[in-house]
Amino acid sequence: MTEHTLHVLLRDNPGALHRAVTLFRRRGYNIRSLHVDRAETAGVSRMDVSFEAPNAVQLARELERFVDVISVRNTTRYPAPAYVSTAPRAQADGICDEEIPA
Amino acid sequence: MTDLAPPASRLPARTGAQVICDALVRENIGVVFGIPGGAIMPLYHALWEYRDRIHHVLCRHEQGAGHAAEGYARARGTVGVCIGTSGPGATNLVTPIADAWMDGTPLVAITGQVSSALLGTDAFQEVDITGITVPITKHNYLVTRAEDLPHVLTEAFRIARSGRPGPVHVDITKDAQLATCEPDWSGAEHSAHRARRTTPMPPAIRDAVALLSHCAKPLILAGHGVIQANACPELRAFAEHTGIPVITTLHALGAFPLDHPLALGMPGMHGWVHVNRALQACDVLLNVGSRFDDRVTGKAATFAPNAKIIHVDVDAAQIGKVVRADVAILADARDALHALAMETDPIDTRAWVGSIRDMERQHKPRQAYSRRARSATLMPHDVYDGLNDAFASRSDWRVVTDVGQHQMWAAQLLEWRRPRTHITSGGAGTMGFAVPAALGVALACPDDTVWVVVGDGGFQMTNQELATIAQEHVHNVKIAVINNGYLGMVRQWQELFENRRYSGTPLTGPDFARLGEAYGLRSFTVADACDVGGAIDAAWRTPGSVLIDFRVEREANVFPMVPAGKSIGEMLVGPEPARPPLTLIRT
Repeated sequence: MTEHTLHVLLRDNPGALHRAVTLFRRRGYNIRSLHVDRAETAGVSRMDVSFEAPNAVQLARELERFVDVISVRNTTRYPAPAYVSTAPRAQADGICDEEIPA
Repeated sequence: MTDLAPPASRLPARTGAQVICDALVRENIGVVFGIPGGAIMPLYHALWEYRDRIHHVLCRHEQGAGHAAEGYARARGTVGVCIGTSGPGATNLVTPIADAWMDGTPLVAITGQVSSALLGTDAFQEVDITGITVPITKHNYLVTRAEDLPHVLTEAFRIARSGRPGPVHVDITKDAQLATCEPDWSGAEHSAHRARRTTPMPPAIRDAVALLSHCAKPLILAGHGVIQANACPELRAFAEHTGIPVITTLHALGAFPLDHPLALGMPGMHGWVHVNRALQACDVLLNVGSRFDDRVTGKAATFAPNAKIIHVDVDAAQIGKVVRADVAILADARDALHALAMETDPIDTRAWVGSIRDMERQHKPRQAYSRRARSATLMPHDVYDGLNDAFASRSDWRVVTDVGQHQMWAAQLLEWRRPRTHITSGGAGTMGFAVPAALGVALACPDDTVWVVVGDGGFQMTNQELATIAQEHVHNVKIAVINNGYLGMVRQWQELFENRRYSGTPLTGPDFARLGEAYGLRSFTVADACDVGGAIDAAWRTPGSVLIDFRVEREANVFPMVPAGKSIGEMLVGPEPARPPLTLIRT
């Protein structure tokens, strides 16, 4: 188990956060930290979630297919304390930074 | 305020309930399945006005309504709709919603909810049903305002159909159904839901073609996605062009005709030995639209150990989830097969196919099952022989199976030739699926004869829907109960792995023929092998729905079998009907 951090942009709809975090609960992964706030764009929330899991790729893909999820980025390599205040906003709906190895 | 009439382009004010009906009409939903109750009464009040365009089928339990909508959707390739009230009406829909989630069945479940002012007060028949359905839906909505309904319902149907299809749940408060609004359907076109890419990326196709051009033992594993993408002609064209043999998963049975020279049959836990051996021996595996279910792969770490794997799926989350993919093609099955066919050269697979056929001749116990001398005992396989005899000369049949031994025998023994003729509960394994699902299939395909093959255990879970079949005058459902007096698949595991401790598996039931007659179905009991053909023939000729109670050998087993958690290279084979020591085949 290693710690991963995902940066998720999601539409600011009721239930969107529940749907996102229940993916972690389903697998029995413990969430180490969770930060949710409004994003710069109106109607969009940003979520930074750190958790321990064997890998983050499957979770990222399952997050991405949610209707209310706009983008998912793997930000594990950003040091967490600095990251919270200077997090870059994701631009497109690309998959996470760390792709699955072939 | 103004006393001028509203602009002509504006629709008159509608209630939320009428807007729901308008949405169903816009989506060409001609049949809905449900049960009314307090919180959904406004919708039923409106449905009455639409009864010439939307036929409501009153089921006897919401689970039956959900499975019926699934059957309707699976047979037609469109979205099924089920309706329930709040509280228990909604929780009763949870099983079919979960079933649709696992099998990728496009379903829109509409439930009533207590009025918005009562939300969270533990009001009568209030359940947090959108909280409950989060992990088993592609998306869900709690709608509290009538004016949100056009957008929400349009988006719900789009989501249910798109990508890997699946269930969407729309929970609508009673006040939203009663309120009036001027529905604005234009916003629905600008839904937040993005259309996902379905055409393959050229580099992925190039990589796949490179693998296919340097292989000697290629295999195609066709999954449900082939049927859902209506890609069966493309699959056949690609297989015939390249010469690659085709394996069909449980849900793909019928996607590729089993009498085709390149058809190998079903893999997995109850797949054929030669199919599983081919999987373990192949050097390139082209998976088109299968999610590598564990009932297909067995122990995933040992699955197809020699193969480079090309995985075609429209859902990115399925690729690499269970089995690593050497080449990932994120695409609709039809587009992918079309693109692959353009680039791939024919492969000389004669020696490879020949070696698989040799294994088939050596191991396939089908011959042992069928055409054997008649014995006094009615074997389950006699029923499938009889159905095959009846199916051989006809094309107007479909089969709905439940879950368990009878389901695996049907998958193994019936001669599947056409897509959407085999409808079953695969991923969720929902006993009780078959009878209500067949009701939906029968209404979707009124010109076809819909055979239900169901065990006595699953039959007793939802047989109340026989009343619905009777009330709806459904004439084309023919039910074959494979009655062995056990929860047979569990009993089989207990026999093989738990020293025959038959804990909780012996099962009694009523006289099913008398039960069928009580519900108004012409019904027979068959206990002798020589009566099977006559009974099936009589059922086919009888106008109206029919039930046949086949009293079969109680302890027949499904073979071959891969024990749970084992590699698909390790199969138990046991010829029927004798019961010699089991043989373990290792590859």
